[in-house]
Amino acid sequence: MQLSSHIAGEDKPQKQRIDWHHLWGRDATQGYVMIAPAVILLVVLVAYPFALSIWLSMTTASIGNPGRFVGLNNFTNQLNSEIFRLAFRNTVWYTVVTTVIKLVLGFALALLLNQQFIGRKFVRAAILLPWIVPSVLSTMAWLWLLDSNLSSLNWLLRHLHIVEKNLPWLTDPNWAMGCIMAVNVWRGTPFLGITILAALQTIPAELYEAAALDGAGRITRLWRITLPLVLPVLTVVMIVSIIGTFSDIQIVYALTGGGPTNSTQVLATLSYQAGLRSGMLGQGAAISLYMFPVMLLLVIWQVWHVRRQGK
Amino acid sequence: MSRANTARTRVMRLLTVYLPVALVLLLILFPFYWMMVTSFKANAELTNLKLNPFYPHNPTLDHYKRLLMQTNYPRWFWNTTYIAVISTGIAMVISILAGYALARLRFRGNSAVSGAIFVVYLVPTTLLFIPMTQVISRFGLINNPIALILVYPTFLVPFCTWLMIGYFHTIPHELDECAMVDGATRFQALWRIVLPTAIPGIITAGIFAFTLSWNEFIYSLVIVSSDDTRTIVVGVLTKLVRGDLLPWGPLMASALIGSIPVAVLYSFFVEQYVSGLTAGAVKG
Amino acid sequence: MTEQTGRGTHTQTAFTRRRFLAASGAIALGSLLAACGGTEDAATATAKPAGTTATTANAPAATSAPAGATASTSGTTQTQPAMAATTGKPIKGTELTVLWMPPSIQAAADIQEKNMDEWAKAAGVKLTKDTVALDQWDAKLATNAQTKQGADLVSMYAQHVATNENVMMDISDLSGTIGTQVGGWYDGPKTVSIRANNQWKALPAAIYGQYWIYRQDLFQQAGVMNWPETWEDLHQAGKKLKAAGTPIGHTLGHAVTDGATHNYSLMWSYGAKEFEADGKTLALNSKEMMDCLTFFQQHYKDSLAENAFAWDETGNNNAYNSGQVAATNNANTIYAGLVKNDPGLAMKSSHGTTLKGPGGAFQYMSMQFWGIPTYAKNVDAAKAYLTEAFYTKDFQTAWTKAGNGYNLPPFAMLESVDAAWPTDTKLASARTLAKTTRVPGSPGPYTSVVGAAQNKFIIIDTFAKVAQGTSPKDAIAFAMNEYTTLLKGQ
Repeated sequence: MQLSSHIAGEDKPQKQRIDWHHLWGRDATQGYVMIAPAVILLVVLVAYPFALSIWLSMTTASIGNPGRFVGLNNFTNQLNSEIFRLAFRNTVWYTVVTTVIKLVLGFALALLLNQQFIGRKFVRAAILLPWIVPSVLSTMAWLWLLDSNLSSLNWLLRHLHIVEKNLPWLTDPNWAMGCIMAVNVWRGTPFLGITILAALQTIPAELYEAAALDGAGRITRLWRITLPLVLPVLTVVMIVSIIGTFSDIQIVYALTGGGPTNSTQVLATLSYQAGLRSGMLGQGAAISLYMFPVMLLLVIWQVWHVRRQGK
Repeated sequence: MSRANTARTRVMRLLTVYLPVALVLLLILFPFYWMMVTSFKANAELTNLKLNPFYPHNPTLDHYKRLLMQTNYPRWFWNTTYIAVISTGIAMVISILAGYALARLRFRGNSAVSGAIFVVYLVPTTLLFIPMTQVISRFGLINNPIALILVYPTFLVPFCTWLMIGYFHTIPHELDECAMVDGATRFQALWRIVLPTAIPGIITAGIFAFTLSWNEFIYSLVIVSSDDTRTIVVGVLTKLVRGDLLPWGPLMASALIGSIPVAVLYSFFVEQYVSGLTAGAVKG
Repeated sequence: MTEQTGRGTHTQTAFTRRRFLAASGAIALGSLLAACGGTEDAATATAKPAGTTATTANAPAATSAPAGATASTSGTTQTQPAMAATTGKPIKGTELTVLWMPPSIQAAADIQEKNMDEWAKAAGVKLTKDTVALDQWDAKLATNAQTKQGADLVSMYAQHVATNENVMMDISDLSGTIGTQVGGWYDGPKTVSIRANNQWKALPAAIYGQYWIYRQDLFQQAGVMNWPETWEDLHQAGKKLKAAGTPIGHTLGHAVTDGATHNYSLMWSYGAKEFEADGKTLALNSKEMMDCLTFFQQHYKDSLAENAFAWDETGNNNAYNSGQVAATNNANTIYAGLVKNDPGLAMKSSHGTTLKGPGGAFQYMSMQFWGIPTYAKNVDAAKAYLTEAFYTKDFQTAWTKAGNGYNLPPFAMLESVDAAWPTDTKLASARTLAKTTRVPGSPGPYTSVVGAAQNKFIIIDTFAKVAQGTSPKDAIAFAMNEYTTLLKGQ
């Protein structure tokens, strides 16, 4: 019907006004108008700089020096570096573990906050605090708690006679990675919780009522109603968490700087240290871009998934 | 309902609701308690291992005084606030429109655009900030807060758009289709029917956007450089940190007094959409 | 678009160079200045004058470029007689922005601020002091460089000089005149200042003295009456100290300054080095390095603090301040802090000399420089500030005095000026300390690869790995591999 009116419009120019109206009424036109601001903003301020970054990653550019084109040399060269390989492995490990924990805890937190209880208002305000405080500053508080010399957590544990000797929070490679993950989860879970809580709110109560009438138990309702309905939101926050964890530099940078001996080195910190800090913009860009294909696949999967959900 | 039964429900509630809530609160708030204690401690007390570190032995307001009197903190607070509010506003309008279009309307390139919007979110800031600042410089906006208002939506829009797509999907198509059958235009349906239903999503996206703007660090650092135009994080780090000396007291004080008002503000928003549900939950 | 960027850079440099030539061409004092013995400017052109304290540190500048190029560039440098002050264009009424790194010692920061303000007032210049935290310095400079906007005069650490050399003006002229004014530059900082084609891209501003601070009381309790002279002596003393619960603090974490302070210094003292004098041939796979790491493995086990893997720049400060270690190497910020906050501990502390190894005694120290970026809009005022205010004897004396051993002058002028030095006998070594400075890359130049290796903590991690139990051989293989990767990425 839309198509025919469009053709009719081309045939009879005197009906211009009505045709405009029809044209405007079309999904496509409205769609393009509605996405235009987003597209313009992102093309000008992100796509172009991004293209520039990709170009950089294939050159020997340094500060004030455009460098020369070297193809994929920066990428292949990194593979020889033990530090890079470690950073890549750590990044994947750090991202996967924290994302899984954050999703589970976030979902649990949302269900919990969805209950009636005394002081709920206070809890809901308090819960967002870790995420509101600029991570640059909150990470410093953690650093101070976990400090290798003055850890007050150690003081507490010793005085409660839980441990005899100081725990090697940031000193031991495995503990250090654990601490970094813990801080990431501490900071990231509240937002996931609140986001999922918001999704829970949009589920019509009637669905639960109907299911309850059909004799569905708590678990069944959770599994059959809640989960499928919040899944689109869940996948979005998951992707966001993955991207955020992957590119967040603050926590690792402030707590360990990638140490001890690169056991907590991730691509973001490495690209900062080896790239920007050393003025080697090309190398830095290559290190940053290393995860890009993986992320891209994730996003494509995500697009496909949400599309399917939408239908 | 027998008394034994009520008692059991009470125990159950204690175990399934209050205990987890208490645990969550402890884990989440402990570092804040620590920040607060640190902000009231005298410098000499900070490295003293003999004292109990969990309360200030000689509480002092020096760090707060230093922050509020000897730095431009109130000004930074104002800058951070207005920049965050405006960029959040801009980002939300852009994202709601784009999110609705991508979730509901069929047009050529829909998938490609929604994918592309997300792809830009993949670009790490460490990679992007130099070229982006070059673009800003070409607009002649270096050292101008307007630049931040322009730049912040770039990392807010992708996420918010996607979040909105997600929320619009959870709202039944029938709602706006019915409205349109009744003669409403697309925009009217969006404005009157879909948006009110999507308020929890909008609030979430708004909170997300505001927080990211509030905490933004690198662009604020490299784009504005005079003390009057700085934001909180860059301001305190610039003014307070000297070489290998970290002034814990004032830093923690700044983290707290900058964040608590925001948390209180958020609690109102969160309460607004949650209360709508409480009625439903009780029924269910 | 990229092309446009490239063109932009080009125009910019061309413009500044033209202006620069115009500015300096006015007088023909050049040959006169070059004739002055103390002028390092002349020294870099062909051969070192006999009078300077010649070390191999000077060599890189000469070897880093083909001979012809070196000769011609330094030739032009020579004929540019410097002083922008004589352009004829008055600086009165102009604006000058300084990206300034205040010293950690407040008194020194205050007096420097006063120096800027007073000069600005007298010269009629509107001076704006801009700063960011040290951690953000790289990001700030990089953005300034890429957007070609920013301060007219910038403070830099050695790393920043190396990374920003392409966007710093050639100030060989200034280095000559000011070099004479301050009695000749020290060799350590000079290796950093002189970049490709023998051009001076930065002027040394200060060397941050690194001291071994130690607990006299604990050493004496352990039966060690004097500060050890060699690393091996420290190792022996440390055995007793660690047994008593207060080991030696040796930073092994990812801390650019303190990590280098401990580990580069130890490496050099064994005669080990990253590169040969040409700055290109890797030299880490050596007997010296092997000996050094073998020593360190034992040293760590016997005498070092075991939580040092997690130390950032504040790690050893906190460990010392809280009485957990008996000695560590740091700027005088530990001591200065103790005098103020914990006088009792300050009383028990003293400073020891740089430790010797089989290859000598060397100390890594952070250094600060001044540079005038190619994107500077007010070059004349920047130069005038440096000549008329910063490098004057009065200011330097007062500034050095205020730093109380923190910021040491990178030149000879104050060696004989008693008023500049700390009266506290525990800081007496401040007067001679700066001369023992060594720069990463030694005996080769401080190249971008050397800087990148420092930023990637490769040397520190090599030592940390050995401490964690990796064999010295494998640790060297690790380091060689990382350096090779960096070289290939050039």
